[in-house]
Amino acid sequence: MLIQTDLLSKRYGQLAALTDCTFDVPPGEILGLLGPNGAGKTTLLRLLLGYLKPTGGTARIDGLDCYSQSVAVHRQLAYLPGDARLFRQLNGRQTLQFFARLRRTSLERSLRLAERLQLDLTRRVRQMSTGMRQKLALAVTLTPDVPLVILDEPTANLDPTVRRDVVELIREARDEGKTILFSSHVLSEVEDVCDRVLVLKAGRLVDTVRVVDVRRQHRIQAALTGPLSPLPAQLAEDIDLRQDAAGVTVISRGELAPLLGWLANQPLAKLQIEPIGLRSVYERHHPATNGDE
Amino acid sequence: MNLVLLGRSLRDSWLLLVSCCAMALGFTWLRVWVASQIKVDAFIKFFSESLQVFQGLLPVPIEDLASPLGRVAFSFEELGLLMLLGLWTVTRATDCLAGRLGAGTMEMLLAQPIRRLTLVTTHTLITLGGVLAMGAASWLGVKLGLQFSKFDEAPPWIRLAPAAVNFVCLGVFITGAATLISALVRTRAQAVGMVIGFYVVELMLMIVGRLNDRFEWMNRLTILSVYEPTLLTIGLNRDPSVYWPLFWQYNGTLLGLGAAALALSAAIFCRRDVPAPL
Repeated sequence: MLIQTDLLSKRYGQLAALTDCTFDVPPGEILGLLGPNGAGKTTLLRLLLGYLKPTGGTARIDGLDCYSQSVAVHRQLAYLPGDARLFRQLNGRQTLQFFARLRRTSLERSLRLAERLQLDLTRRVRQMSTGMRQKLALAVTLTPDVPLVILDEPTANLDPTVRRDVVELIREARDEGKTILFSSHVLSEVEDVCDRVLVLKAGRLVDTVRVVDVRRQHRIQAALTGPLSPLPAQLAEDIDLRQDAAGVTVISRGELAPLLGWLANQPLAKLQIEPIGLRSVYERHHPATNGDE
Repeated sequence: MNLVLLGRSLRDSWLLLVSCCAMALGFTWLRVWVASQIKVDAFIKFFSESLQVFQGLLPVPIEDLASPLGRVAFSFEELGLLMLLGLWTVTRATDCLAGRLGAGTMEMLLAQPIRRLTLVTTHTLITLGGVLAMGAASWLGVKLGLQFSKFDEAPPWIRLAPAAVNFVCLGVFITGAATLISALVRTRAQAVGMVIGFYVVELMLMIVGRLNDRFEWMNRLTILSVYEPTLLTIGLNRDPSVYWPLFWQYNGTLLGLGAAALALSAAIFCRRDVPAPL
């Protein structure tokens, strides 16, 4: 495992920012962190970066303790903060040069990334918009050849075109064998990019879902024109079935084909089939008030 | 030592450093030249008779202060020069930790494989180098001032070395104290506010301690009581056997406390949580 946490906790006096968080991340996985503000996403990332001292439990990256061996840990990772702030007096090229020299990485690679992100490297950081600064920081972050990339809301402040490019860059990083820890509020983006998602609520890890499993889940609703026949035993394991006056609702967690075979023989009308998606998983833990995206 | 960080730190502050050094040089040059133009006899009489209550505030008796050496050495106690030293040291030292935390640049820096201690030491080395440069610039300003002065018997500029050394040691102390405060708080504004508050309290302790014998003990509570460039300069030129121990004691106190504060601030920063920028 590249990342391992065991009962990782952080308290500020009476306030529990993160409680007993345990998870593993194998190399090459894109892991998403989901949760509203204050759920503990940033605290978790900062504990992994060694910025915060855990009040309980441990966090390890490549077998190294994230707090006591933070310099060695940082050789294994690159990090993009949610609100990346760079030296305001430098221009884009100088910023890339500074970080390339600091990490002894290739400036060429930085420049290629910058070109791809359509960055104006002659402009000083203080003259850049928030989105441009974020893109510059992203170029800094994706340049080093490290096994782990931690991105804290990397697409916040970016326009849709650049957001698409960023998602593409994240996928490419994964294809290069990098592990990516990715926090975002944008559910569709997480669903598009991640292999697995951790859902946090009030500082606790409340759910871990594989995106491929979520994609296989469907909700089927229909009106009943007669009584349903008994559900075959081989289907029952992966299905939740509810009947009420309005009809029947079936939640499928497995392959849809065998279920459709059974449904074809039921007295149903107005049949609707829809993928459940990450939103439903998220809203199970964080019921929507005004929408989260 | 990280040369990339050292170079960055120097490039970030060279303009401020050059400005402070140029102003320190110009200030002391002008100050010495002006001091050489003033006829002090009448002033001594006026001060001795009418402003006797304030004599306690003077670092040396008024007669010594009025001597050419005293008048030149007192340049190192002028508010203008001390403000320049404060500008350089407080600006740099508060930027070291609290400034970077508040500005958010610490986030990206700490994500690199760099020890926190390296971040503090590279920044502080440039700050201390600047303090030395300001001390040298002020001393050079004194030398130029003396060359153009109209003293009947201008003191050799080398005799002002104790004042310049005391000035540099004060700079080291302020750097240490401001860095320590910077390591404890979250924003630069908080750090600057606390440094100013500290200075005001120290100044009040010194004034009250010197003006009233009953509160003389307050002098021992203020670091300003070991910043005595005029006293050390006149004393070492007049009676070295008595004043050398005082020279080491005063400068050792400033350097020791400054170094201890720097070590403590590094220790605090290496262990503290790094909060997300505001």
